[in-house]
Amino acid sequence: MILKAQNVNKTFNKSGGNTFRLQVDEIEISEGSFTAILGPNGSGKSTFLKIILDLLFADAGNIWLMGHNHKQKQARAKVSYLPENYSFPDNFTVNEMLHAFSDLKESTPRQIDHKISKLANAFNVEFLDKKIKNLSKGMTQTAALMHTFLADDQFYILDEPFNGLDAVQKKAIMDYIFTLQKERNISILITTHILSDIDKTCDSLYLIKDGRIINSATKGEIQNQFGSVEDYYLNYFETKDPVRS
Amino acid sequence: MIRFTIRTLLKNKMLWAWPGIFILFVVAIALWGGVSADPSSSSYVIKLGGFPLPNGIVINQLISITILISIIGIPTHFSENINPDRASLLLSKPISRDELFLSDFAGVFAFCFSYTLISVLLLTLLTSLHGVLFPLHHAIAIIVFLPLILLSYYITIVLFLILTNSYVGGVLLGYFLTGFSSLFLNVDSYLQMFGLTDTWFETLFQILSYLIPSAEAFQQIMSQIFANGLSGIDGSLLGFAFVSCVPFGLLAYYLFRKKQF
Repeated sequence: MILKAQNVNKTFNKSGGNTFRLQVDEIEISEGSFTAILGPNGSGKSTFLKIILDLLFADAGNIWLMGHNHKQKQARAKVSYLPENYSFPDNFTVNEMLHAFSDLKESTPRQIDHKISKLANAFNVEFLDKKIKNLSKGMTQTAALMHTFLADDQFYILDEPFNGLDAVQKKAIMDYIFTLQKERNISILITTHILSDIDKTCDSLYLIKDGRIINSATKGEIQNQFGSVEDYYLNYFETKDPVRS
Repeated sequence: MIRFTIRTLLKNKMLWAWPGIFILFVVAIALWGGVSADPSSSSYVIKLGGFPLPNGIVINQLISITILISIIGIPTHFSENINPDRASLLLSKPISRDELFLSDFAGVFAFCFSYTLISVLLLTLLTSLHGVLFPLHHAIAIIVFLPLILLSYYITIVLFLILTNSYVGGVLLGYFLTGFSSLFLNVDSYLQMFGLTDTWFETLFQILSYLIPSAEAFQQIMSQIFANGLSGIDGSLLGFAFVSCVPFGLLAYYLFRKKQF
């Protein structure tokens, strides 16, 4: 089991005096799977990912990551995370940033320059010598994805990984992920707003609303019952009647 | 993580001003001044445009500028590291909060030590260009105690960076509070000056003196070595200086472990 979370809950105060409560009864992710967590803005997707990685502390519950308690640093030894919002040292070039962050993981290959050029080739990157502060939104996101896939890990947690990317870049990254799945049987946990990105790729999906998992389904179940991920999603979240002409 | 800290510090252009000031000083003295051995002691006299400059004042001014540059420049990386957007990247790696905190201090110390060594080598180069040996006890005093002075400021700044989540707030509070701690070293004279003869005040200020990192104590020890060599070190002052760094250091460590990103 790559990830198992049981009875996880966290309550915190949001701006405006409101209280937000995340409660996840059970989530399991098995080896080699491609899992998505879908939900509207502020539903608790990123909060849950941060709790998995011990960036935020759960009030209660149990989480096992890569066979370890998620609070142990060994649990993160073979895990890569791309947060939705991140900040790299902006006076570093992309190449320097990748080298600096590669030092932080033992799973980074020894021939780091070879790995960087392989990723640059896969992601169509020609800006390794550009400073982070001079990159466009799409370039920065691609650099962040390179940082995420730099180490040879088993579990990749991607929070809105396609933000700011064009269709060509998205395809290049998805192709790379599929190659990794074939070569190393990696597992992916992804959150995204763009449902078409994961329509054909996800093995299982969880829908989250107001901090609670309201439904989960496998790819087969979605295809049989709804036809597409978009229809599955809209079935649970669409509140208005469609506009009729 | 230490290497990551050192990399970010080395890329910080503001901190390039530190060796820059020393290089400028060496070039200025080499071009428009000189250094000669002081016949009355084992020391030396620095001259600029024909005017002798007391070397104690020159070195102290260089150190003061270095401290100011470091106080402004060094905490920037820690301030960025505790921003959730950066912390998410760092702490999602197999790095514990303890490791991140402690290796940050180790990285900062290694950085300060390296730049201090470069500064002392530049001063040694300057004096040797004029056939004068840079006194060994001056070199040791600067190499050992300048990084400690900077660390004592850094401990307070880190504490307030964690508490305030603000670079400006952390640096200003850290700078003024650590600077303020110098009052505690002469607390008797200050209390008498303000007519506060009650032993209660004395006890209160003595307790406070052990709570705030005392950069001034390290500076006084450095001055003692400049004046009287290594034998001039006041052991109790040295002990006090180290002990005064412990409470804020532990508090910052505790708060950092509890911090969520």
